[in-house]
Amino acid sequence: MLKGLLQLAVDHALTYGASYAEARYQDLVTEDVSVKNGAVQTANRGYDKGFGVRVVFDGAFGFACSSVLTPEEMRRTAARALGIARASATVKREPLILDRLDAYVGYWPNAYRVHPFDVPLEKKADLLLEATEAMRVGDEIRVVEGFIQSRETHKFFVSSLGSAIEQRKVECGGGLTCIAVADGDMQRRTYPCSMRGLHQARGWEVIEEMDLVKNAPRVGAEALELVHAPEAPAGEMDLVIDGSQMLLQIHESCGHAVELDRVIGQEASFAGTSFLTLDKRGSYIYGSPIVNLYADATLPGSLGYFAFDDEGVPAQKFYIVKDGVFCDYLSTRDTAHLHGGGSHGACRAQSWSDFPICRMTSVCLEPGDAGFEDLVGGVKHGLFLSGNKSWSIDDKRINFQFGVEYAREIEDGKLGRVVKNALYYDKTPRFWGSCDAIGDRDQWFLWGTPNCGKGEPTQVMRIGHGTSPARFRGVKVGVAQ
Amino acid sequence: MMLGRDRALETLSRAVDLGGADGLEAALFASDTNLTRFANSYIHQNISKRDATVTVRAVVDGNRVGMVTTNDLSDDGLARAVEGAAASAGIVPPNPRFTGFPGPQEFPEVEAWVAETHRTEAGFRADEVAKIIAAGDEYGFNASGAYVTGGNEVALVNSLGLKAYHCGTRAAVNTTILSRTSAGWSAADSKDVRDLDAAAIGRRATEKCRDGQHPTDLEPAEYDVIVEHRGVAGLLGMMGYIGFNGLAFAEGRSFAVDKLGEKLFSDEFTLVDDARDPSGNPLPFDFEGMPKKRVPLVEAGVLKAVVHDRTSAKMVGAESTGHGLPPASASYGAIPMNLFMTGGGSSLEEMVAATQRGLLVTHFHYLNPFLDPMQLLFTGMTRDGTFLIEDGKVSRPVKNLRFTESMLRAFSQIEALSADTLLIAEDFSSIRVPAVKFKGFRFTSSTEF
Repeated sequence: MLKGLLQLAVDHALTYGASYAEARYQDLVTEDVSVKNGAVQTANRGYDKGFGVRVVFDGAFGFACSSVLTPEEMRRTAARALGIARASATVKREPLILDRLDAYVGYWPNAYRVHPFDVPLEKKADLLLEATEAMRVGDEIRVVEGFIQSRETHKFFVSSLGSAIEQRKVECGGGLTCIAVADGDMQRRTYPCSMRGLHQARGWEVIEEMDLVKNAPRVGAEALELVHAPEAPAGEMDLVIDGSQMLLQIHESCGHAVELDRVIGQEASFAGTSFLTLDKRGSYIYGSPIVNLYADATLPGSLGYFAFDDEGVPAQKFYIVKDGVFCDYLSTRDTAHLHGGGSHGACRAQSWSDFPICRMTSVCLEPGDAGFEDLVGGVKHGLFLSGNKSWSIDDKRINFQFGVEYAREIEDGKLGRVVKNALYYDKTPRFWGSCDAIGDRDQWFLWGTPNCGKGEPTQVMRIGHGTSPARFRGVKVGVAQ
Repeated sequence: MMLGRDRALETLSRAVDLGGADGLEAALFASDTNLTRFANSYIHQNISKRDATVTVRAVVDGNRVGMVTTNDLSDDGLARAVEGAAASAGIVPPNPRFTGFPGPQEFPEVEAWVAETHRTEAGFRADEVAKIIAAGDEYGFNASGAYVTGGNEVALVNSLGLKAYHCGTRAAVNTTILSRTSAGWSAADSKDVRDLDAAAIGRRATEKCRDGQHPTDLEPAEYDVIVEHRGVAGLLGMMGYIGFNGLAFAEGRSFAVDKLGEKLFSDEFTLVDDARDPSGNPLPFDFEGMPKKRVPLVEAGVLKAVVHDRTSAKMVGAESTGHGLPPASASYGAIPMNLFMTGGGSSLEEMVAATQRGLLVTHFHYLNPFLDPMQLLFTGMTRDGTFLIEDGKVSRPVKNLRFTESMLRAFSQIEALSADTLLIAEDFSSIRVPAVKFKGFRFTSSTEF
């Protein structure tokens, strides 16, 4: 039924002159439960479905979409896409080159233990109420919040190459936030991750493994510690950065920097370009020899896990940085000719209404061999940093500055007092070049950020990042006030 | 997929009339968006997007609230939404903060719809984009950007008899012109597509790019800085989000706590939120169905108010100012969405001429306001044209710099404002601002381009 409807759009586009056409259906069901200060704030179900048609005419793209799923609307939408592609073709330099691709037919669901929609709403609300109240460990705790988000996405992709790909993905995530206010200051602590919680492409087991109730008192206590803590120092020192901040460091300074559409200027007017220009592939020293970063769309449980991307290219795993040397890009069918060897399968769209663009899948740092005590033990004077508070990077991904939620001084290899408002800044290759130890596999964890923005109009994307804590030498911290 | 007033209100009434809860509210958000993106001097993405969603909130026992959002506006789709919301409301624990739905309200008449904007075709946008590209071609520069036209509508109906409908249009164009060593940027927004002069936008960005070639290093330090309109809008938008937010205020998380009535800023700083002003992007009501009120936030440097939705107003014993967000975003609090900063008596040229040594900044990239919200400590990078001013003249382009600065400090050190103001608009929101000269703005690091 779905395949037949989508095929109507593809056939209509081909009949009226498209050299390539694809139609992508998506049905998304979401459930959001949130609590705040002892009350249920949100109990929301969402139903969103529709389809998008992307066509190539005279070497240019056109895209149109609709939420009306009828045969007539399929043809109308294909005609709109074709008309738009005709307009695109009037302002082009070179015809679009779409990398060669085989046809694929198949069905792919991800694995999960307990479907999050099978867990009653009441149970979710009760769990959050219990966990958030457990964060109230002092009178200065002003706000306690928690949320659980569950999703199931159903996609069907049909293309004029003959592909017919159906995918289903269940995801679940959540987290806690505690805000303490005292002496004119406000400090926040989150668990397990400040970037809108922890999300994975698994079921309710993601929430159970977080053990929100057990961790809540510590989160509250750390918020209190922070609001009474001294300001973090400024200067140059060594850093041990935990996974909940490393994920964003990887995301901003590596993941976005290797998106090939950005490299060739397709995002120049909005999100920016990249310092990792085409001439640097295979030779540029991105980091120290122990730095190995890879993209992996085959990583089970990751938000970037799938069987085929949103233009029908199979999921792949490949190195981005190997032994410190930059070696490859995230790419799509229209950019793959720039590196040869086929698209790397990173063309993604979060919604049926999104034009699919180059996105991260799962961008991860390979674990090293250092235990946490080794990481800290090797620092004479420095900081341990945990959880992100603010993030900013220039439009070529070189100069970055991150503020963190929670920091502790390190003196003579030992963790010391808590300090607040810590921030660090550096330039990407110098920073990664200073990495001299990476945590071992026992500390490696699969994080996920559910709200990466890119493109116009802004498209959000769900991306996985696996990492251990790591150590960096001689990084600038703090800003003199 | 815009519905129009009659069909929008009829659709929502159909949902509310299904009943099944003590109270029901249905809200419609619909849009037609047509967007042409170009890069490397050709169109690389070109889209047409139509969608409409209905959010149903159901209430039982006074304050148990369930919610369902759907883009299936068929009878079956709406019935499923109403039943689902009611079922959730029957299960979830009470929310003591819930204020109930408002009854019927009087709304001011505002005009935000321009049919020509909504009718714009892909061929027209392609022709306009070609003018921008031609401007860059004159110097062999590379053009990127976006041209967007479209319409949007919001409607609300609830079981207490409230009915509200509003529609508006938006046209916007921006471009970044790139040379091998520099970038230049310009943009324009309007309700009316006929106001946009793509060729002029292209020329201005091209001139910036031309003048910015071969930038040199500049030591990060404290500089007097002239920030052009878009840069100022970026700063004010974030101040509104985290600082003038009624919920942040009520929860003790805003710089404004215990400071209302205090002189915190320069005499030159006056800021008002006014969704009725036709020179902005007018909106008669907020997303709870409350009438939009004009709220003076800062008058001659004195902090006067923050904005409220029904929830934060109840928390502090005030009245809603009509700044509620859509139900799914309500946890962010109340946000001023139609800001106007009063201009001054200067011009960009006069501000440059009056600067002994300082910087001219086109706009900012990747602003972040979360370093220290109580101090409004922001960071961000300059972008697309940063210039050193010496002895009253733009002396040379410089590489981009990062600032880390408290907006409490910056807006208390305003030295001059441009007389002209510029509109920066999004769907349902806008900021109108002058260019501003700040004294002693802190730049804390540099980059390589």
